[in-house]
Amino acid sequence: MSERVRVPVALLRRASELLLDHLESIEGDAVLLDKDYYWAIAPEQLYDVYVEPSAFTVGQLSECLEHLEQVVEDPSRSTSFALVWLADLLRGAGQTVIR
Amino acid sequence: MTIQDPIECTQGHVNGCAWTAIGIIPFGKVGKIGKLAAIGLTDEAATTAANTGAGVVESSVARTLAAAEQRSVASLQRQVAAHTEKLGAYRASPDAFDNLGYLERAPSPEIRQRIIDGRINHLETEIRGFQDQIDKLLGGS
Repeated sequence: MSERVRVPVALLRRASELLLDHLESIEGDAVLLDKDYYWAIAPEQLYDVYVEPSAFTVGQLSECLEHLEQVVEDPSRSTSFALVWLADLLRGAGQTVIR
Repeated sequence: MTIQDPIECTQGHVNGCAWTAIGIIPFGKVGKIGKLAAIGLTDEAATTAANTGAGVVESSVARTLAAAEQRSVASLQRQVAAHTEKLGAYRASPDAFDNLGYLERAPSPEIRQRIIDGRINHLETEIRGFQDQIDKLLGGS
C-alpha cells in the first residue's frame, strides 16, 4: 500500500470549477456567512489520530477572506499555505449552503 | 520585531533571528552584514530579505536557492511580517477585529478571554508555520 495519498491537481481544479459553478447557481455571486470564528486544531495534531487533540486555536473567516483578497490583488504573495485559508472559507460555504 | 522573536531565535528559527537582528542592528549595517549573494537570492528576493533583515542569517543558509524557492521565501517572509503586524494589532485591540460581535456578546469574561487567547494562538501558530517553511527552504530539507 502506498504511504501517500496521490491528489491530482487537475482533479482539484476540475472539482473546484464544478462545485463553485454549483454554488454560484444557488447563491449568485456571493455567499453570506453568519459565522466568523471557528475552532482550529494545531497542524501537528490534525492528522495524528492516535492522539486526541488538545491544542485548539481560533481562526477567523473574515481574516481568511482578507488574506485571499491580498493574494488576488498581488499574486506574488501566493504561498501554498493560502490553500488553507481557501479551504477554511470553502468549508464555511459548504456547511452554510444546503443543496 | 516582537518579544517572541528573540525567543524563537534561541529556539532555532531562522526568521525569528532575522527579526531579532533587524530590531537590534542599525538598519544601515544590515546590508553590510547581509552578504546576500552567499544564499543566492535574486534582486527581488534580496530586496525583500534586506528589508526584513533576513540577510543577517547567511551563515546558516549558505546554499543556492532555485528561483521558485527564492520567490517562496520572499512570500513567506512577507506573510511573517504581515502576520506579526496583525498579531500586534490584535493584542492591542481584539474588539477592533470582532466583526460579528462575538466578543461583545460572549456569555462570560472567561469565554471572551478564551476566544481572544485562541485567536492569538492561531496567529502565532501560523507565524511559526511560515517560519518553519522558511527554515526548511533555506536549510534545503
